[in-house]
Amino acid sequence: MSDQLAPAHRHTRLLRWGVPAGVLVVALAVPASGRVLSASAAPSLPPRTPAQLLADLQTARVDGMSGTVVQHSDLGLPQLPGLGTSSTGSSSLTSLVSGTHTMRVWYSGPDRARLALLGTLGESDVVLNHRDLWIWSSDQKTAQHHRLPAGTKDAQKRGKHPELPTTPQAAADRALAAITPTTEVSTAANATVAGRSAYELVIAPKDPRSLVHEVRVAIDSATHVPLRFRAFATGHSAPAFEVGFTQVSFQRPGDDQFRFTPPPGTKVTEATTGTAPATTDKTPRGAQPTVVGTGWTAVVLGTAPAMPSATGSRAGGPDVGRMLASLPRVHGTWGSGRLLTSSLFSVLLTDDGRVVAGAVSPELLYAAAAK
Amino acid sequence: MSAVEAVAPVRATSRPRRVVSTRFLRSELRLVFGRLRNLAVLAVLAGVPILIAVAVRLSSPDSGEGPAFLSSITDNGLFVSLAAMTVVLPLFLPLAVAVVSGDAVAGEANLGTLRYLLTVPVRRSRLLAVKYTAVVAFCFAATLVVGLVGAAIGLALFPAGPVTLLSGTTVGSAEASWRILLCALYIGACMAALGAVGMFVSTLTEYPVAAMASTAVLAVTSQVLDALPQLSAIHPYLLSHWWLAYGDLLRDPMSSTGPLHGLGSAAAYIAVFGALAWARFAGRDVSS
Amino acid sequence: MTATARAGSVAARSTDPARTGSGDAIRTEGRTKRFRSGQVAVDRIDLVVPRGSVYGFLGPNGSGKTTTIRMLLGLITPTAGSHSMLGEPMPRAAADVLPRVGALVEGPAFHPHLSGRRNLARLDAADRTSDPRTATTRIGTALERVGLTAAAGKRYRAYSLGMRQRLGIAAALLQPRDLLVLDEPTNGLDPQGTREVRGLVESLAHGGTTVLLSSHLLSEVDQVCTHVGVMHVGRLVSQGTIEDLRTAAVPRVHVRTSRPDDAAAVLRRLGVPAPTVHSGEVVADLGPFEPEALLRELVLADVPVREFRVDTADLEDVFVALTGEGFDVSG
Ligand SMILES: Nc1ncnc2c1ncn2[C@@H]1O[C@H](COP(=O)(O)OP(=O)(O)OP(=O)(O)O)[C@@H](O)[C@H]1O
Ligand SMILES: [Mg+2]
Repeated sequence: MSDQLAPAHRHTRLLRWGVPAGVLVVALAVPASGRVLSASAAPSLPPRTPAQLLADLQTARVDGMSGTVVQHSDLGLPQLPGLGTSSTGSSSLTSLVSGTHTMRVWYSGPDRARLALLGTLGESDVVLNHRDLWIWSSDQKTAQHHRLPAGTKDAQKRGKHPELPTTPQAAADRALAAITPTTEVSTAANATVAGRSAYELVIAPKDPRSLVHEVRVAIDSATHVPLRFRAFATGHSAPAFEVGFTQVSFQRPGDDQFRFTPPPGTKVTEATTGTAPATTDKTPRGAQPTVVGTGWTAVVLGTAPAMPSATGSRAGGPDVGRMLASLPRVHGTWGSGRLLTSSLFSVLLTDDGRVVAGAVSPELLYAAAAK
Repeated sequence: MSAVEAVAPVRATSRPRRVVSTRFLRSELRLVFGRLRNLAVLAVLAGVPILIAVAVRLSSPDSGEGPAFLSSITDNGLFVSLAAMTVVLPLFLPLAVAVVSGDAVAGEANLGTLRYLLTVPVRRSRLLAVKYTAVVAFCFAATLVVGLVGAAIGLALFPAGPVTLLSGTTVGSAEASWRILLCALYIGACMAALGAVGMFVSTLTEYPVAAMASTAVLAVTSQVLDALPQLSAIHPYLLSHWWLAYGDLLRDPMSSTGPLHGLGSAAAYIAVFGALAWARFAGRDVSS
Repeated sequence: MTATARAGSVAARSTDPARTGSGDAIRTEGRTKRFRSGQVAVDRIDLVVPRGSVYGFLGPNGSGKTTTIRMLLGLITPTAGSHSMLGEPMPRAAADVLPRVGALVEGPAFHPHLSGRRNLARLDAADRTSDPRTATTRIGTALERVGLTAAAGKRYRAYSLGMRQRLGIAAALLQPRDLLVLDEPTNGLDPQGTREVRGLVESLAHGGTTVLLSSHLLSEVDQVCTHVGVMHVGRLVSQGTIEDLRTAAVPRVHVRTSRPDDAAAVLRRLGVPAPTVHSGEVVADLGPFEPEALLRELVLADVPVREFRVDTADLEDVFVALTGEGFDVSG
C-alpha cells in the first residue's frame, strides 16, 4: 500500500544513479573523441596521383625530426612460450615481434639519429652520432659501442633489425622496394596522423595467394615523410602490423640528444667489427638463402645449421627449443617438419634443417620445399 | 548533572548561519593521522626503504638481479627512494590505501558515528568530500613517506654520486631529487584513484574490514588482468595499468606521455567512482 | 483493533487543525517506512509534537520508535508521507533545521580511541553553524551538565555504559537547541542518573526546548511528559496530552476477599465484563456500573470484602492495554 506513494522517490533514486553513468560515458568519450576526430576528419588536400606520391616518398628527406612512434603487431602468432609477455612493456629490442611498443625517435641528418624503445621501468637506446653507434640497455646496465667505418650511409638505424621496420620511413622504403608489376598502387581518403594531414597511399599485391591484403602508407602532406605504415592481412579488418607517429615535430633536435657517454658502473663492450652490428640477430646463418617465385608470393629457402631438437637443445637457448616444440607438426611429399603460421607470413622448419618462409599460405611453402 | 543550576538555554530563534570552514576537514585529518592503526601502516611503509638500504649496504649486490633501481643504489643513495617506491607499489601501498579508504564511510557506519555526523548536520556530499580529501592526503603522505625516508636513509648510507637515468644519461642529485619527487607525486595521484574506488566500496557496506579487503582485492585483480596479454584490449582501462608510467619521468628528455595518460586515467577513475559513491551514499539508509 | 479505535478518540485533539499547524515542533503526515526486507516498520503515522511540550514516545521493543526518529532526522528515506520540523519541511530544510535539533538516536556512538572531549570537539567541528571561538566553553558546559567533567579526558573506550549514555546526551546539548530528540536517554543509567536526566529534561523544557523522549520506561514518561504517543507494531495507536490519556483509561474495581471466586461470580452475574482473579484479588473493568451498587451486591451475597477500591488506571495499565501484554516483541 505504501508502494503507491513511492514512485517519485524511486524516480530520484534512478536519476541519482544516472550521474555516475553520465560521468562514465564522458570519461570514456573524452579520449575516444580525440581519436575519432583525428581519424574521421579527412583533411582536404590538393589531389596527388599514386605515382606522384611514390616519387614524393623517394625524395622526401628532412633535416631533422623527432617524435613518438607506436608500433603494434597483431600477427595472430600462436601463443609461444619463448616470446614472453609483450604487453608488460619490455624494453628489450627482441620483444618487438608482438604487442604494442612505444618508441621515441630523434633524427638530425643521416649521421645523427637516436631511437629509444621505452619499457615500463627501462629503456633501450640506439644512438648514432657520426661514426659512433651506441646501444644502451638500462635493464642490463650495458652499453655496446661500435665504431663505424667512414662512408657507411644511413641504413644503420634499421640495419640491426632487418625483419621488422621500426620507423615509418624504414617501413615505407621496404614497401617501395617490393613494388613491381605484381603490385597495384592507389590512394585512399586522406588521413590525420599525429595531428598532421596526410595522403594515404595504398599498395596491394595482385596475386591473391599473398597473405598480405594491402599496405597503407600515410604520407605527410607538407614534408612527404611517411607518418604511418599499416599492413593488412587478407581477411582481417584491423592491421596486422602498424607503426606510426603519435606525435611528431620537424624541428631539428639539439645535439645533446645524440651525445652518449656510458654512465659510471656500466658494462661497456667494444665491438671491433667494422660492419653494422648484429645485436640481437644471433641466429647463425647457414648457406646463402634462395628465393623461389617473385613479388609478393616469393618464398625464401634457407638452411638452419644447428637446428634445435624438439626436446630443446642448447643451440639458441632452451627457450627456442621449447618454442619450436610447441609448434604443430606437419608432413607431406616434401618431408616433415614444424609450421609457424601468422596472419601475415608462414614459416616452415623441416626436420632436415631447411627453413622455408614467405608471406604466403603454408601450401605454397610446401610446394617450394618439394622442389 | 547539575539539573538544578542548569539555567534555561538561550533559544536559537533565527536560522543558524552556515560558514565555510576547514574545521571539519582538519578534524578528519587529525582522525586519520592520529589513528594508531594508520600510523602503524605508515611505519611499515617507512620500514621498506630502510630494509632495502640496510640489505644493500650489508650485501652490496653486483648486478641486474632484483627489483628495478636496486643495483644503482650503491652509486647514489637517492635510488633507495625509487627502489622502495617500486617495491611498495604493487602491494604494500595499495593495501595501505585500501585500509584507509575502505574505512572512510564503513568505519563510521560501523561505529554508529555516521548517524551523529549526519544529524549534526553534515550534508552527505560534504561528508564524502571531506572523507575523500583525507584519503587523498593519506595517499600522498604514504607515498612521500616512502620517498623521503628512502632518500634520507639512502643518503645516510650511500654516496650522493651521479644518478643514471633510464636513457643512460647522468644527472646531479638536485635534478634527480625533483624527478623523484615528481614520481612520488605521480604515484600518490594513482593511489588517490584507488582511494576513490575504496571509498565507493566503503559506502556499500557497514563492515570496514570487508571494504578494505575488497578494495585490496580489486587493486590486485587489476594488476593480474594487466599481466594477461590476452586481455590487452582492456589494459589501458585498468586501474593499475599506468601506475608504472613514472618511469617516463626518469628518461632524458623527460617524457610526459605515460604520466599524462596515467593522470587522465586516475582523474576518470576518481570522477566515476566519486560519482558512484555519491549516488550510493546520498540515498542510502543509515540504519547502523 | 480496539486499540486503534480508542486511539482515534484520544488523538482527536491532534487532528484539530486550529490548534496545530506551523506551531508544532514536529508534525508528520502518513510517514511510512518499508524496509527493503518488505517489513513495514512504521505505518502511516501522524505524529504531532507541540512546541514547548515534553513528548513521551512510547512503545514496546520493535514497535518502530527508532525507525520513526531516523526518518525525522533524515537518516533513512521514508517510503511515504511528509513531515516538518520546527515549522520547516523536512528533509528539504535539514541544513537549517537540524542545527537547532539535538539528537540521541539508538544509544551513543563515538570513536573509541578519542577522549570524550575530543569526540565532542569532532562533532562540533563538523557543524558549520557552530562558532569555533566558543567551542571549548560549550563543550565544557555540555560535559558539566551531564556530570562527565572528571572523565572528559578519558578515552571513550574506557567509559562505562552510563558514561557513554551521558556523553551522548552531552553531544545533543552542544548548542542551544529548540528541539531535543532523545531515543531512550536513560538506557543503562543508574537510578541516580535516571533521576538526573529527568531533572535535565525538566529544566530544558522549562527553558522552552521541546523534547521528544522515546522510552519503554513508563515511569519516566509519567513524571516528566506533557504529551504522550504510543507506538504499537509500527502504528501510532494513541496520542495526546497525558491527561487525555489518563481519562481515556477505564477505571477498574479491585476487590480483596478470602473468597475471590464467589466475588468474581457475583460480578459476572451483574454483567461486569471478564473479572479476573489473581492472588486473592478480583480485578475488573468498572464499565458503566456504580461502584456503590457493586459493593452492595457483594455484601448482600455474603462475600467477605476486606478491601474495595476503584482506581483510574495508571499509565502502565493504559500502555499495556494499548500494546498488549505479551512478552514477545512485535515485528
Ligand atoms: N535496517 C533495518 N532493516 C530491516 N528492518 C529493520 C531495520 N531497522 C529496524 N527494522 C525493523 O523495524 C522494526 C522497528 O524497529 P525499531 O528499531 O524502530 O524499534 P524500536 O521501537 O526502536 O524498538 P526498541 O524499543 O527495541 O529500540 C523492528 O521490527 C525491526 O526489526
Ligand atoms: Mg529503539
